[in-house]
Amino acid sequence: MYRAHVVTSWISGPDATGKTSWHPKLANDHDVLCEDVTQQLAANIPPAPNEYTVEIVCSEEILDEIEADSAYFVSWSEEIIESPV
Amino acid sequence: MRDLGMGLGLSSREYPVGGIAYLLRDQFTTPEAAPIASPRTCEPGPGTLALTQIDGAQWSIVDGNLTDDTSAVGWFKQVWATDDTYAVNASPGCIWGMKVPNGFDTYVYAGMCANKITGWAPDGISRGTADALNIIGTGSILTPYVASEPFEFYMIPRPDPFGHYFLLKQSGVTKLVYARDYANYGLYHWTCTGYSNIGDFSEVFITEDTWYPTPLQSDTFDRADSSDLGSTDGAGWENAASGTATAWIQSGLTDTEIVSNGVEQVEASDAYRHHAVECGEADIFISMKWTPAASGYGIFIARYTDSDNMWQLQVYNGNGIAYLYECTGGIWYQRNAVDVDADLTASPHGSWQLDGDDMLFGLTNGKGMTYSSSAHNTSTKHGFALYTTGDRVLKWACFAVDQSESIINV
Repeated sequence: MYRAHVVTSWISGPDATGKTSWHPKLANDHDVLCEDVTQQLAANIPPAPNEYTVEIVCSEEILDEIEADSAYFVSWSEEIIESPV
Repeated sequence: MRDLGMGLGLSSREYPVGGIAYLLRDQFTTPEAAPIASPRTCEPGPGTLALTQIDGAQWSIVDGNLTDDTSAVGWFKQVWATDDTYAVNASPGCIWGMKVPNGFDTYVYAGMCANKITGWAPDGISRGTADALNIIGTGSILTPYVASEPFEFYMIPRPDPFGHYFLLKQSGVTKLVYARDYANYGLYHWTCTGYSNIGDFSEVFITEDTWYPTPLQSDTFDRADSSDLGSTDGAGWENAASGTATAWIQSGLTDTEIVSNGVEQVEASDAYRHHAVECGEADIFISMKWTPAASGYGIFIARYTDSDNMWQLQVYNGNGIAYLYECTGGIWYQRNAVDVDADLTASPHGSWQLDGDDMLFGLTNGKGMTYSSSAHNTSTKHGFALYTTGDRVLKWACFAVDQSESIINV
């Protein structure tokens, strides 16, 4: 598994729960759960460019797909080393 | 890695605890080679300890610390109170504590548990197949915890239904990290195990009844069936009433009602209703319990101003994921989504702490999430919601809000 920070745009529409919200476009296009690492207030989200950064944990295969997707920029990634216990 | 809580202006509140009376206290003053004698007379006392040193793993006392023998690692080393006397005295408000002078590294599992440990999960706090709670070197729930730095860990029994508080103190800040649902106050002990560089204990202790976080509101919903939630009953646990009866504030698209001592949603699907109650504090620790449910969302509401401004933590049984939403000016923002393996059919408890800008959520399976935001962080109403996606089966069984920020002077 890999942990990565990805720059994505916000979109408004049905999210993974089926309800309407502003959420990262990345969650719609790829099978990942996203955490907003900017932690900025909703009122401070800049409309242009409509970009912010999320943290994801995903398989190497999905990370490869995201890196190959020109809609997104992976700012860094690292392999997660599991505890041996 | 994000280091939640550092440099974010966390506040703290002093709770002077004068004249602590110890039931047991050992500071491991006199050096002793491995294996050390067991049972052991505590220094300065009172009390005695039994120490398990199995599979070649041994304790020694060096430089005022109870220290592992790192030549034999990967096995249990445990410190026990010698008999059930201490368990009998583990009444609400007494503190079981341990001080770790050098921190634990990534591959150390240690903490306090009842009975014995038989397994772990790779979480910040995890429960083994026996009643066990461990703190490990890294983990999502304990994000403020820095593995390499000294810390203290406290467990404070609390009356039913939620069992115990667990507090982690590091760098002068104490975080109420979790509440657990152990039904009984068992024979606790301190434990550690790992593959290398196992941490030391500089002190273990048990105090008499001292303190536990101030309860603010609670509701068991144990009242006659009604289409109106009415007011909180303040009976969130058996031995200490919490808060005065306060009317529930309700908003949303449909109705809920009290059915068989729980809160149930009336409409079958795609409708919700918010419930919030004035708690008097913005920094809180909110705990809830589901009844077994086959589908739907169990939703925590915190820092509610009105139906257009609040935080929601939604746990969805359909996929086991917890979603964090900020609602500001009627617009919903999904802030976080974490797979917490939620299984509402198992009747879990959930706990959500909001302390300043910090949020910390955990389920009884040890999974959780963190987040930080200053949005709505002065609002003092908190509560819950339901959102069913099919059968009308999801129900809240219990609700409690405690004061969050805290320092215990031990």
